[in-house]
Amino acid sequence: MTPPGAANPQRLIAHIDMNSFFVSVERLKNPALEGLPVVVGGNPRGRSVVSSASYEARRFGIHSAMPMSRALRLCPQLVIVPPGFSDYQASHDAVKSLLADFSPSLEMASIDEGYLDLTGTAKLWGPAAEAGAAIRRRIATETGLSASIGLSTNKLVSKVASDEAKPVGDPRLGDVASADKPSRRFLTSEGVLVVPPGEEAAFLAPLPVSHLPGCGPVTVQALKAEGVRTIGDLAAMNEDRLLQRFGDHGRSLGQRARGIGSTHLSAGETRKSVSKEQTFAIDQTDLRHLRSVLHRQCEEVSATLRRKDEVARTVTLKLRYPGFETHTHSRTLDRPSNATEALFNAAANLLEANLAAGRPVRLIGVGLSNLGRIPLQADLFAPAPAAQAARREATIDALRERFGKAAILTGESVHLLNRDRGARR
Amino acid sequence: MKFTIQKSTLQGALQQLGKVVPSRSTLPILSSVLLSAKDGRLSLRATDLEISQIITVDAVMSAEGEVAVPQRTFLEITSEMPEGELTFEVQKNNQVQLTTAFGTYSIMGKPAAEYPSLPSVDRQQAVEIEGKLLRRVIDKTAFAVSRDDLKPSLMGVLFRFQEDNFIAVATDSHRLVRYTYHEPPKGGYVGDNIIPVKFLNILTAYLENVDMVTFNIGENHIMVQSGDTELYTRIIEERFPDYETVFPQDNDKKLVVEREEFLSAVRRVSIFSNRTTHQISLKLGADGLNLSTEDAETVSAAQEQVKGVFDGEELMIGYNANYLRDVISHLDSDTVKAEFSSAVSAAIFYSEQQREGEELTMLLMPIRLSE
Repeated sequence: MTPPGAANPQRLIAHIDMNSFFVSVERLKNPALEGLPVVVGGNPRGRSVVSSASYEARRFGIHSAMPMSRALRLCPQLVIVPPGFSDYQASHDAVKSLLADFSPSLEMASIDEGYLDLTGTAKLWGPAAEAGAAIRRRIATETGLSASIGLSTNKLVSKVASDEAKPVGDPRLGDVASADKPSRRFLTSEGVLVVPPGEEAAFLAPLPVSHLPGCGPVTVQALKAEGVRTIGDLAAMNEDRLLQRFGDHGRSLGQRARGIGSTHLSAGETRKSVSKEQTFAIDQTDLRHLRSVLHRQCEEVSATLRRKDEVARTVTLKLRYPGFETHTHSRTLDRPSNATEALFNAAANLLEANLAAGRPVRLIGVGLSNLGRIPLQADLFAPAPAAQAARREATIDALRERFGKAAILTGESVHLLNRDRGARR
Repeated sequence: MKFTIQKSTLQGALQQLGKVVPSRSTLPILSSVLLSAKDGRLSLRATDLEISQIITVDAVMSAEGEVAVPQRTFLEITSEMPEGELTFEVQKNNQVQLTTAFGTYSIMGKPAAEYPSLPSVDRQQAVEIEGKLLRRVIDKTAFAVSRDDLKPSLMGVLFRFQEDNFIAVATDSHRLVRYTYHEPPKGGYVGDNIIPVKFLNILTAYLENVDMVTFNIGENHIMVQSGDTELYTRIIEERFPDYETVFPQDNDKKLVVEREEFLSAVRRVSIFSNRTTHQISLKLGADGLNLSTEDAETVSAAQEQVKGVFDGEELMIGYNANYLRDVISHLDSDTVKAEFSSAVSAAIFYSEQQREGEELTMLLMPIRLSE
């Protein structure tokens, strides 16, 4: 058996990230928005959030996912544009189809970013820096949009690189010039950053750990307690300590910090997680109701996994309180699962452990991540698979497939039905 | 409350307590340490409600009293101070003022009354264990403990004190370690206790140069004293699974292999395994074993041949490489023996030469290989 990668070890992966995508599309429709602090989002009197912010708006401290009401307080002259998703989809499709001209191996990771495998295209498009500049030019001329492009030997480093290639702001407005960035030396032209093979770790080293994909606020905080601030600090951290502190996640953190990443592009829309959430019209304090909603959400997300023969290893509970205070709590399961009850138990435990009694909840949601194929890890104390439970869930799934969600209900969610009916009356 | 203390003394105590202070908690006071100045001694206490630690240190007392202070901030400022003395004084409303030759710093403390009280270790019985032995037991078992709090009984090591021996068992239900010491510890205590792994990991740091350790075992808690430090833990009140029945009796396919070679081959091959399943395959045959892995997602693969002696019918078996690596790396003789039965049942791993007076055995469940 020969490792398939061995014949062609040197890969070139580009990450293309559209700059303030929604706002840029809006500016194409309405050039008067140029130069103004603009955000795309919903009604400020409701509970909407910023979906995308222009660089002018970011100077006021506004960023995506911020409540609109807060954004308005930060910048009273803010221009709010309601989202026009069909226009964004059209621009996305245009970018996607022109990217496909550069290489058949393309993965659109979301509406405003994608990966392109440019391995072996040097004769067509030139070396990495030239190819990157050509892609950027073509996006600008054909769609009028601006993109940042990172190129390296893998997806991870390219993603960080495109982020580093982003405009920091407008120097005319007195913003920090990108000249101060440690990654400056890798910039090959405006908006294009190339990390040559072998320099992945050196490129990442001076950046703060928060720039590393997979390093959320909680991990960053925990790393800070270990004295780790830059990705270089993380790369130098003892593997045993990482493992002890973060488990398997620690192992992969260490690898990523050293610039090791995947080169595999999946053509279809890739799903890294499935989630379901609900914002309440009236803040909820009833734990029983919250549990029921959570249960229904778990039923839905676990059914999605079962349809794909996938299992999740991590369950995340999302809670939002009045004042937009949002917390996520995660638990990594010992045994990956797609069984409603196993996932619900984990989510419900997180709810009980983290929700202070009587505290009103504005939003509740559950997310499943760390998805994988069904593992076949055998268990010492339960060697036979829990066949009965699996059969029951398969039956429920089949019934719902045919007759709709309400065809069969579990004890946990029955009272939701009564409640819904009551509300309708 | 007022006292003067050497910076290094205070820093050392705060650092040690940092291992007990929970990184996240629903009870904010747990991020603080409780300082009590009494009878010319200063004691510092931390707890996560399961484990408590008290360190008593020397300080020059001016006024007795108690206050809770945020551990992290307190440690940060203490660490940044130059060597020398500092004075700690509680002012109105639990405001704490620190004074050094250079300046003054103020932190908001909390009333001592809000701090959880220390567990009482009632009707205790004492067990004496050699420090060296206990360290070895923790080192050999703690890795196999479950991190899944949905299975609380598996989140600690079972310490089984019996009339003629002492057994420690840890499992996460995929792998299992059983350590038997053929001599009972002193004290005559007989009983089973599941001890939280976090406690054991903290305790092990204090065992470096300790001859004998005394476990004071109460109804719900255990207390261990070492020098100026007292460590308390809650005992996990759960039923440990019946581990003896899962030891296979008729594993007739036997492998003998050099431990280091086996371990480094597993380490190399596993780099190319799938990141979620970590699946690697072992093909056991007359030439020893062949390790291989393949990951469709990253289009990577690896294989290695490891020399060894195999006796039995050929067998192909899959493992989580991380589990396999843990098992091999915690055995300590030059050669490892492993006994298999089938691709879906537990294999037994042990050192070819067991150390005198003890027996260390591990079980590992396979991953059923996908088609």
